[in-house]
Amino acid sequence: MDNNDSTHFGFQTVKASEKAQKVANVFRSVASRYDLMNDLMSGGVHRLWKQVTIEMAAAREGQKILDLAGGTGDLSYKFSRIVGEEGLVVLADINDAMLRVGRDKLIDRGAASNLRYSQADAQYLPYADNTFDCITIAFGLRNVTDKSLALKSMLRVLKPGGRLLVLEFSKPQYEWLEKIYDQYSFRALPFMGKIVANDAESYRYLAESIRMHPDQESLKALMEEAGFAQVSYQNMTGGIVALHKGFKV
Amino acid sequence: MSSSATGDPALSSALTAGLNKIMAQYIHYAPGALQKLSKLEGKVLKITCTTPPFEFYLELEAPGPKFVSFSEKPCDCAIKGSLPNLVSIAITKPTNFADTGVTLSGRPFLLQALQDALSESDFDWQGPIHDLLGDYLGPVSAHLLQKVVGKAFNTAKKTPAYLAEYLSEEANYLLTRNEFQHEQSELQVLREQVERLDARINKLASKQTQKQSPEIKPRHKTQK
Repeated sequence: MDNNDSTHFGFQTVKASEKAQKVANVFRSVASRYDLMNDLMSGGVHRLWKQVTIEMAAAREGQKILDLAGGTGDLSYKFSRIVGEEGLVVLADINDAMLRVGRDKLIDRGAASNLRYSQADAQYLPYADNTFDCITIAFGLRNVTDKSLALKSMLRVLKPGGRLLVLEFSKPQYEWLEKIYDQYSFRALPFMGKIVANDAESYRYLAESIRMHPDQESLKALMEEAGFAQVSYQNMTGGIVALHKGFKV
Repeated sequence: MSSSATGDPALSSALTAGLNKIMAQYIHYAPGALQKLSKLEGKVLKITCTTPPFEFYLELEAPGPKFVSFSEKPCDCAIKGSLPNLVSIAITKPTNFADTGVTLSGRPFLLQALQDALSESDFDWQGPIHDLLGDYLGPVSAHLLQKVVGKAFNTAKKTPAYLAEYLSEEANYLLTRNEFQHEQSELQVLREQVERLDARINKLASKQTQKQSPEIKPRHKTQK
């Protein structure tokens, strides 16, 4: 967030107070086609990125997991099977439309007993200190207005020894890949958004917000600044996506 | 941390997803394997491929074994090698890893137990055939095909045992290397004796010819 209470909304500079509403409108617009668009845009690779996140979470039976910005509940579903009846998974999202789609999908898939749903802002998490063993935020942090505030809030609700996993678009590690990726995200994505979700603007925002998001090292520094220890990251698909991991000590 | 040391985790994840699917199918048709694998519950095998660089783990846990690209559980056994070498040992199942290009650390019994559990299980090969072709061929045709393939499968399965038995029987009638070399030297001696005898016969024959020739020669001289 900039000092003068302005922030980025894609390539636009907007007032910090307006960003949440604008992001909410984007996701309200795409909620019903979100999963389909994810598969189309990534060619299904987002499932692999999420699988790596699940494995790196090293969740165990009986643990409490917070799936922040969990959207349509891909991670929550898998976590709910891992933590079992004794555990708890909280699917949280600031956007009611996304949360509703996620809740319906999870109930349809038979995951219910150890799942809770929570409409929550990542910057001001409404949970007690030291509650969760693990927090994941997949493709959500870049939409948060004040990332530092959100990371501090996550640190507060994590148990000591607990871990945060941030799965997010990042900076490609090869120049040739970056060029292809730019063409793809600024031309193909809005076109696909127009055809499938009848909303080119939301997908243009997606591409722009990815470019404005901190790169691997910057996000690592941000996490360390927020108080996380042993912060590391793992590039995936040539750095298009990076998975950051940090612990509360 | 970067992805260069262990390759792209998304690729490992894709690989493990594929392996999990294959393993699930195998166990579906070979339930005996699951029973054997359950005895190894809690064990972890780490597989590191040096070229191309990637690694993954096999966690043996309930309800079944699972391949994962990350594991924080302590490894019981680890194998490391290039992809061709790893594939090679998976196919040939050598009794030891000398000269295979694969290094092993930890407890090798885990590999042996895994091999036993997966190879000695009574795989119901008829199941996948029926599942794949039953809808298209109909139950009777699929059943007949199962029988034919089943016989071929059993024959193929028993052939190495039969072949080994046949070869061991035949081997009793075959010369050993030492016997062969001994026979060969005896044969050489015999050949030399024959050659000498042959030379002697030739020599005697030529002597005989010479004895006969002086009686003829003077007759020629008197004619001149």
